[in-house]
Amino acid sequence: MAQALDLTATSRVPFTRLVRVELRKAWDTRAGFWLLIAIVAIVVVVLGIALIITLVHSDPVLLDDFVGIAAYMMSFLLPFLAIMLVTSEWSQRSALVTFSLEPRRSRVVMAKLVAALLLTVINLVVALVVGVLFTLVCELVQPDLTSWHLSGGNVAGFFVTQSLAMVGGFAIATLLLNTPASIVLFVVYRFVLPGVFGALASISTWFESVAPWLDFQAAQSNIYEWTLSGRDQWAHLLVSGFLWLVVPLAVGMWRILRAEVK
Amino acid sequence: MSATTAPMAMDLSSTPQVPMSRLALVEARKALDTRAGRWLIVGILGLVLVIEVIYSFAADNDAKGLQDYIQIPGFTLGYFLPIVIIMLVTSEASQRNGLVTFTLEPKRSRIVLAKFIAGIGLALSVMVLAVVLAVLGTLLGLVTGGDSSWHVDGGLLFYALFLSNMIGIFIGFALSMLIMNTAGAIVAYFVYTLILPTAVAILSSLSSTFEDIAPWIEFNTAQAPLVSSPYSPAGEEWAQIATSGAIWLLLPLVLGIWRLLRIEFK
Repeated sequence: MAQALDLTATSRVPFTRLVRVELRKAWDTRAGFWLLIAIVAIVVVVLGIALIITLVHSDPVLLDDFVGIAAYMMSFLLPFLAIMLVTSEWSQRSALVTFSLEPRRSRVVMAKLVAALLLTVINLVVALVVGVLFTLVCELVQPDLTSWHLSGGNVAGFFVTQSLAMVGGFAIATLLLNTPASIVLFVVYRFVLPGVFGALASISTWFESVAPWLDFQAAQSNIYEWTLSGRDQWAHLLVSGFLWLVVPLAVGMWRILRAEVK
Repeated sequence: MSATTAPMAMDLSSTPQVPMSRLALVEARKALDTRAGRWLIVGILGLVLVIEVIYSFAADNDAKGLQDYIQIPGFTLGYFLPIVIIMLVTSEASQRNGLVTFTLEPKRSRIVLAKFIAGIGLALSVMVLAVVLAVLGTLLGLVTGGDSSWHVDGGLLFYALFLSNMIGIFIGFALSMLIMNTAGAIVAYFVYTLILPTAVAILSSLSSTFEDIAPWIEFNTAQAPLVSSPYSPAGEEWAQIATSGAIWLLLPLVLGIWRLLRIEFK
């Protein structure tokens, strides 16, 4: 009688383990590791110069300032990590293994998305810790000029906009499945298009009235300052977000669930 | 007795060296006739075209001169032309054709020179194409009711379109030779052109002393007079470009070339 492998009693891979694996892929690979080192180096250098300037000038300083600068400097490069989370499966061909061990691709994609959002949380926590450390130095040197004020709105605003940026990078990555191309397109999406929209809006009143419905990055500026309110601002955010986030993510997901892995 | 004849030797002494023009042509072809390179160049020119068409319909009629249209490619090219150059260098490692390239021409310095010639040639052709597109854009501006002026400021053409893009190309060369990985070099290039100026802006807002020093030590800040009106950098500004350029362009370029001449291709 032929032996059959009975897997019915084997429990399926828990979702938490999938997320843990994806997080590890983000930092325990050569590219991811050096990207993280670069992020930390940039933050430390910029904050270090800011600290020296503050102390030399005896400027008043808030915890808010240091956390803000740290989070802002980190926000540029972190979406590249979300991109590599998706594209490296294709460029390094690990998708063959990933989708053999967990053939339900939607679970893997969800795990990657959760990992990308967890990276945003980690980004925020690191920015807070670094901010506290630099403020502590100021507190020791110039206690009268140092304040521990931290605006909750800024923290929440940063978290929401950075999460949207991570998902934006993720969506572009699922569409292209190629690291350099996704990075270039993401830079166009996040930094070049707003400039083009702004330039066109400044020369044409017609375009100026249309631009808020198209410009997803500008629609987010109110979240950044945590002042999003009113029907118009919400409508601009939802319409431009549908165009630039929901549509590419849906098409990208559809593609990743069907793409041939080779 | 013919079993002990001396081994045949291939006499290459009269074979001429591969001419530099052929090497440069091959390198130009690598940039254009590969999937990534072709789509990138099509993408750049397409983006310029789309912006020009929108501009023609959106802009006020008195802002549709040739000068206005030339600013569009001047702004767009700066972002993407260096990426073409980055791929020209890094693909030798990522697509592994370095093995073939440096076997057919073992003098690596000649390949570096050929890549420079090809890169500069490509950049010049894209610039000429961009000006042609700008002329077409101006014609479209005429059709859509603009009172087109064909006047162009020579400073804009030379400093903003030509010189700043040439500097960008050499930055692309330097970073790609240093990092030798497409994605890594592209990320480094965006750090260089997007994050550094942002950091300088934040720090300058904290201290006017830093604001005065910044153009001497940060290359993007130093280049601002090249790309902004009235397009005529003064003596001190040239000194700033030279000083910051030595740190951010010359040094990485020298280290990069040194690395490319020694790196192991596998």
